[in-house]
Amino acid sequence: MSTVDQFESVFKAAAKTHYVHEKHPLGKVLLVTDMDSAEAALYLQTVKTFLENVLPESETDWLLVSQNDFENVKDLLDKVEEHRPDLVITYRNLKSDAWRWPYSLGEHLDVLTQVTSTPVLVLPHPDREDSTDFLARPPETVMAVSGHLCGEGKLVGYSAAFTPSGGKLILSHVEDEATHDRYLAAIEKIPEIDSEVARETILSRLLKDAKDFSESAQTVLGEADLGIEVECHAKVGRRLEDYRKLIEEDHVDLLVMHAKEDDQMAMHGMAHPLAVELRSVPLLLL
Amino acid sequence: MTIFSPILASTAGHAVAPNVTYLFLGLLACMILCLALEEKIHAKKSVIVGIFSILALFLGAWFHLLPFGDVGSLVIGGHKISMPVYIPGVDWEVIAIILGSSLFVDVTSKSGLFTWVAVKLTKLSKGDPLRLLILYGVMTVVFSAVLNNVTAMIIVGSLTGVSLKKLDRSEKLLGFLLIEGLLTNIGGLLTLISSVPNIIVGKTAGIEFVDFFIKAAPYVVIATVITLWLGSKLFKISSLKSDEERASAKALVAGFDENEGIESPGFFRFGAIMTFVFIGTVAMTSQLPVINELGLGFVALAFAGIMLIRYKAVADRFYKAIDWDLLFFFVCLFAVINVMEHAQVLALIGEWLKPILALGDKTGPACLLVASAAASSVTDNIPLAAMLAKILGGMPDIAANPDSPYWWAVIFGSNLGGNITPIGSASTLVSVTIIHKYGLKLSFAGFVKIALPYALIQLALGVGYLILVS
Repeated sequence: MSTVDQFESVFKAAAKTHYVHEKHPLGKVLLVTDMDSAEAALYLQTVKTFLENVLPESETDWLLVSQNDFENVKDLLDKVEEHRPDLVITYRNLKSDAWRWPYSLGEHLDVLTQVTSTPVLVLPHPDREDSTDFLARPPETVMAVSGHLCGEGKLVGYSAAFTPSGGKLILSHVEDEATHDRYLAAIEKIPEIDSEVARETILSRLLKDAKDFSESAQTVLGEADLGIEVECHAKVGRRLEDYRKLIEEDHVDLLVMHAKEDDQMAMHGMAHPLAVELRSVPLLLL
Repeated sequence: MTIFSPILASTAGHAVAPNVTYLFLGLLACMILCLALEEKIHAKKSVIVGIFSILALFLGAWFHLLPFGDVGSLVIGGHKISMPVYIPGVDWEVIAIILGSSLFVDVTSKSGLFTWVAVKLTKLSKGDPLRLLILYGVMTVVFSAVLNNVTAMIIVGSLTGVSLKKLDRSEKLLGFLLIEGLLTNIGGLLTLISSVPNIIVGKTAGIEFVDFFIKAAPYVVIATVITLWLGSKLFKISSLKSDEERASAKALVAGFDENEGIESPGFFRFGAIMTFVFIGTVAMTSQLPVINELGLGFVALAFAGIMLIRYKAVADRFYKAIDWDLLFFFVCLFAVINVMEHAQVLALIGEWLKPILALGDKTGPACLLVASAAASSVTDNIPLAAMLAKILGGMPDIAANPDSPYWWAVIFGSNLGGNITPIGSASTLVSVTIIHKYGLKLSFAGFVKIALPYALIQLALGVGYLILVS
């Protein structure tokens, strides 16, 4: 006879997480730069143009923090606390030339992304030779990145908010192949668990949850009449490598991901390596 | 009972020394005690009864009680057939019904039919706790009646855990699971195939499926309504008050996808049709030509066989899932009871029952119902039902009358007794298992304390109903 566990599994699978669309406020934006005032003002115009489709001038209150407004991390945090923006826009390695090497985000950004609850949009460093190219064209294709997309309503909501009408939103979910293989190897050593069933079902279940949530988001965002195209990519692979491929293949203009984790101080799972290594793509860190 | 029983009955009249009868009575008492302490001695039912069947058969042979001569030279259809002495005593029809129907239910459940119904009802409740309790309660009763009470508890209990967690109402889980557990034994009264005591007693008494349903249904409806009403009051399960709460609960249950468990829409439809045809065929077995000769066991096995065609390549998975403990328990139990019959133990217990039977057609069945319920509450209700069915079947006045209130006293008592303690029936035990699975604390005494008011009301209602209809 079927057991409690078998039926419970069916009902747990039936209890799907649906996407509920919430509009996130983006009316007050703080641009943080380490440039002097004149350069910062010019940079502000570039950023405004870059984001004009999603942050229209008429609806957005722009604030600027430049070189002389902060000396250290504490000063910067105080400025953010003082202005209480809905969004912080900056770039990596403030007040440092370490942006040339793909090993860190810099002390300011490391702390800022963890301490404040405000989303941080990280743009390619302005001193890069190709920086102006990146900011010349407003983002059209936005990709939400998650290792467990199911239930990530906030991630989808912000990603949708940064996708302009007529643009494309890609909801991507990459299951880490190495972790999956490690669990399967452990299962193969447990006589009580059928290895064949585990091999056939675990991965498809993980991907199905992500696909179901994406489909729900697709429906809800369609009903919200935002004029955006929503696509879902759920696959197994080597996370960083596969995200890189997805970004290249789909010509992604903006990457959105979670940076915070409830039970740790450091940056969220895959967010850190992605944020550090993908230096030519604007990143929205939630 | 079976085609072999008349042969065995003829040997049951052998003179047996009183001390030998008491020895076997002691053996029977020990077996019942061990079954009552099943959890404490960490032994499966089949092993307990299996050991006692070995002992009973050995001692039966030692004291020359067993009809070796008769079973060694059976002539059936002109063919001489020889078989072991412990085989003819087993009611294979009952075994076939249990095996066939559990296999049918198990394969049909793979179609997603039962989970579809369960999720649809959850959505119909719109997440309102009181409406959820009523719908789950009715579903428990119907599933217990149509499938069996253990499967009903497994389906409804597991859904209850998931849906209350989703609705963020886990604090109501104990109340829901307990009420559902109690309702399985009420629903178990509804049809001839709903519970094993019904099958055993109904078969012995010769009660038809439709007659059984007509007689049991009014009681089941009243007892269900009262149990749900009392449950909602004692566990403070009420409707949602504000529009905001209602909207939030509705959105949460709307997240359930009833189609999730459906692998193939074709097989889902086939499963639904076959379930209705199965119930119809079971109900009409005695009226259908050819089928009426083959019996309910054939119907159950045939439907299980038809359903297995869908899974023909992996049918062994379903065989592995069969509750072999339960089936071996029955086989061994029938063997023990058969030996007890030869040892005149059943005749002795029948003598003890005579004062109850002498109380008349109203008081007698009422007392037998209460006594059966009390006995069922502390030990398995199946041996009790099997034993009493055999004893009553040996009484010509009762045996000749399928409408005798004594049969119904045993049916009501053995089913409702399961609601007094957590070990009284397999389905209440499943409900307690699910309660513990969710980390809720409920001791044996705690269960009795909570369940006793329900059980007493249900028993009083049963006694009143029996007096009214007899």
